[in-house]
Amino acid sequence: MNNPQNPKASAPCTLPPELPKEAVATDEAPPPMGNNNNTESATATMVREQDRLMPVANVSRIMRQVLPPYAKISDDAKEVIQECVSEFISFVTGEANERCHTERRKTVTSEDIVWAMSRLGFDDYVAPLGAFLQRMRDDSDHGGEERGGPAGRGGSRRGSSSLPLHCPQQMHHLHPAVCRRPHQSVSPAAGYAVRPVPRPMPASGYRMQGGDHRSVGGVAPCSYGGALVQAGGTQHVVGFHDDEASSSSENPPPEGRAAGSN
Amino acid sequence: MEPSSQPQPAMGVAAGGSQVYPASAYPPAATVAPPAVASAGLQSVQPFPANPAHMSAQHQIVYQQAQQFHQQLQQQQQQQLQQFWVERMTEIEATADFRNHNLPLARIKKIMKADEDVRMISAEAPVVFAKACEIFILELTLRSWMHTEENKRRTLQKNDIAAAITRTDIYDFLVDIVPRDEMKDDGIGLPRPGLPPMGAPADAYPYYYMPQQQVPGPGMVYGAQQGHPVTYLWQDPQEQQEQAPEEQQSLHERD
Repeated sequence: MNNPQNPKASAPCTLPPELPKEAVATDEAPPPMGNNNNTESATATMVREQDRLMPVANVSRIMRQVLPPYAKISDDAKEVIQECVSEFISFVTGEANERCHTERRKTVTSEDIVWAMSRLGFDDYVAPLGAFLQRMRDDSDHGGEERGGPAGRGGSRRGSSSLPLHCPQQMHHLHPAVCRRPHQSVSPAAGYAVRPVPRPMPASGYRMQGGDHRSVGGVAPCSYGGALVQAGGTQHVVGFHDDEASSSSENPPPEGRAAGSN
Repeated sequence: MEPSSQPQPAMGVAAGGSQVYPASAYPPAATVAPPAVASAGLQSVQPFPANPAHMSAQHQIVYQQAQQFHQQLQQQQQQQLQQFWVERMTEIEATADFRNHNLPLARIKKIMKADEDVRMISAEAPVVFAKACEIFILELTLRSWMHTEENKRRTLQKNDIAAAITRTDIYDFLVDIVPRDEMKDDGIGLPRPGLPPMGAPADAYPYYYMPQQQVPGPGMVYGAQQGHPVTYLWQDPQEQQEQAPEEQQSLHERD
């Protein structure tokens, strides 16, 4: 299972041609995971194809959660599900973005996503996702308790498998300054931009001080989430302009960790 | 049956068999789901002249059995889906770690950004999408597995996913993802499991329509192996339309 994961894990290094800006940024940086699988995927088209799909290992693992133990999944079935997920994201994103345009907003928010699903017939998703959002925000607000309660992480469905990865994250949390340095040092090596957030770093640092013990990659979502909840318009706008304008190594670490946890 | 059989031939000739036939054969079904029964009546117009009374009796018994079978199957699948959504809420309420996602956020954001109209994305959006995609994968897999089980297999295949997409309205946007030849493999046009039980009779229509359109001889045998007598019944008259004696023999064999 890990073997097919490698080439797909490398895929994020390459961006589709319709995003020339990001593509240029990516080309300027060497792939963070330089392995034979990436080399073997010599064809740029193939790499880009893999790049637009969810990793097959993640998809397979999720599929097995709902299937009986004796069930087997054919390879072509996994591929079809990968395609369906990407189509689902594009389908919902398109609808959510339409709403943003209608209301003359530039940022697609989680509320827009949930609204779009309801509009497209995925009514059953609204309640679970609403609960998920609420729980996630409560979790952010009670970061202190989270930090003081390692049992919480242990209780996570993925906690046991990803516990080793929490150790370095914990260290990063304990030393925000140290966290920034590795972040900046990694920047030259992997400059491709998927979610650059250099300027909001102070906010992230603040969030970390508040008890956020996730890695740098994971901090950004909470930080932005907090900003959105607090309705910080100015900070919001500034942050997202940076998101588009500059590049950073914010994402490579979580990508690697995600691959590791797989 | 004799009194009712007398007016049937005349009505059949006048193409009015669809109106008389349902009433005499299966009044409850006609009351609950006129469209489905009307469709069945139309399809039975051809074999009518051969042996109206006999066909009527046979059809009534087999139809009832098929209805019961499909209603039970639908109820089971409906319960599976309801249980699925209950489990989703339970799982979310039990979530303690919101920083480990089953899907890479960077990849999600990249796919969102593939749409050039999308300008900026809030940090929360990919997180919510990660959860939504997880639910999407789970539901689509569950619905596909239902088709796998119906065919007595243990390996989830591409055509199972195609069947799930065909049967579920909210998956219409995925129709182009799966080639049509994969959908043709779904030879048994079972009703959509997602629909409420009340809609079961109405959903019987696809069942009676699809086999005759898409299931040739081999399909008939395949259907028989799957224990779907109605499929066999409806295939038989159409394929042996001009051979009344063999048709009668086949019906007798089924007795």
